[in-house]
Amino acid sequence: MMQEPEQLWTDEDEQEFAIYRYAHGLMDAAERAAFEAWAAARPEALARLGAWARARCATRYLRMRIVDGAPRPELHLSPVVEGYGALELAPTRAVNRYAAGASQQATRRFLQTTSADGRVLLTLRAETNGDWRLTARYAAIGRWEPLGEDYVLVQTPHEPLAAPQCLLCLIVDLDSDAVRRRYLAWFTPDPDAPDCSVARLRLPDWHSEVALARLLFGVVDADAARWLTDAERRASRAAALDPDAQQRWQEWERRAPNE
Amino acid sequence: MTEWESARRTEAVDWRIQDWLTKMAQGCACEREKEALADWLLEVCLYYAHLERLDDSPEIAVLATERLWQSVENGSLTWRDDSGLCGLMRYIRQAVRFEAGRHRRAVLRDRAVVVPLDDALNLPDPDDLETMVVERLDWQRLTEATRAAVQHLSPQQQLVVQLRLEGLEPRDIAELVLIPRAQVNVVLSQAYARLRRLVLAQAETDPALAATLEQVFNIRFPSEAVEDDAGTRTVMD
Repeated sequence: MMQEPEQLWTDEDEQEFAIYRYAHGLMDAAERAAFEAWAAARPEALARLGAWARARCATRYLRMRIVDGAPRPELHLSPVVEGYGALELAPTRAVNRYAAGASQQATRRFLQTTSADGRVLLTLRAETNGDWRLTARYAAIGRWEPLGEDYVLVQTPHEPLAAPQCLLCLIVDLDSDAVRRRYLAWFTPDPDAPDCSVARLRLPDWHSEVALARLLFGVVDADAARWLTDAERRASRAAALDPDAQQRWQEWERRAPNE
Repeated sequence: MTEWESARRTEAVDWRIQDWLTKMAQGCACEREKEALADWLLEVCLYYAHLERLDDSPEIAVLATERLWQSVENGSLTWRDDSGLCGLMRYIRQAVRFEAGRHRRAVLRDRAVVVPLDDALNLPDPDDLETMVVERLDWQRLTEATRAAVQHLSPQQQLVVQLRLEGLEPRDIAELVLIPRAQVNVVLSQAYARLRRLVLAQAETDPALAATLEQVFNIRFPSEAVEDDAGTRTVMD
């Protein structure tokens, strides 16, 4: 017979272990239900659950990498990050376009993709000087879905999300699987698309140092900026295109003068 | 998940951490296992740093993880069967507290010269009307009424509402409570609607609460409101 919740987790170790198991999805349905009834009336248990949730929020994009035998923090991206997506950065490719029975060859000057959850539409345009212009549009009230060669925003009014804070971009060398560059971009309200946020960056040409690369992107909170190296932070700030984003960097640096 | 499966998964988590620590002590852990252990230590350090509501929680958690790593390498942090996972977590909590103390002292040392300026900037603004109004409101009455109303929600509604009040985003709540992201909004919306009904019902028999609601949310109760000759509505006590 199932015990009453009050009889289940009596001492502090048992409570800590129960909270650990709940937060890590290690309880069965009946125990979860009993735990929820027990925890809902206990501020201390709620604070602990909140602390686990915050810890996991950070570990979505922060991991420890062993460098010279010691663990060092490193920003990374994986499918558990909101708005996670990847784009193969092959050299610009030629496509055929047909019009009125004639064909002509044109060079496609942009790449486009959406995140796995459909929230982020990422466009990468080649500029004439070899740089790239990255635009990420985040839809808090819907999802981007393909329509022919374009993407349209399909609204999902029942699940609006909070405005995003930052977009993390990693340029990964496909040969060595090493991260060559890291950029962080601030989202700002999109003047062209209501209910969307936009992050824009001008990325310097990477082909000189990486032949075959993959661009990984994902939505992270502003705390992620703590874990950029000084060089990465300077590069991210230099790459920011919007004055609002520059302003955010200024504010961030004012709040963290020792960074 | 059945009870047997959940017990097995819990044991597997324990065994995994025990295995990493044992291999580290024997010097035979591979890079992947080392990184997995470091990531686990970081997660637990972050948990305690957030639980202690430390300033600069992430930095302190990372510093504590780096220091704990030294303890793992020199053999002072190992798996002990008699204390298990809880014993290990107690040790990690102490390490986080210790690191927080060191960090706080270092910050105070570094910022000693700018403290007078910080103090000057943080002086209360005598013309801050918003703060004055908020301070004069009868929050206690409202908090008590809301707390009493929360008891009438289902356990899941209570948990979701309380976690939201803790400042968690719906996405984080969904991951913790294991319900779909969209359902969190539905649960919150239904819970708030029920809370509103309960608090308003209580206000009908509690004039002080009714006055507070009017003051805070500009909610008036038609049954108790009268209109004077000039057309101005007032609430009767």
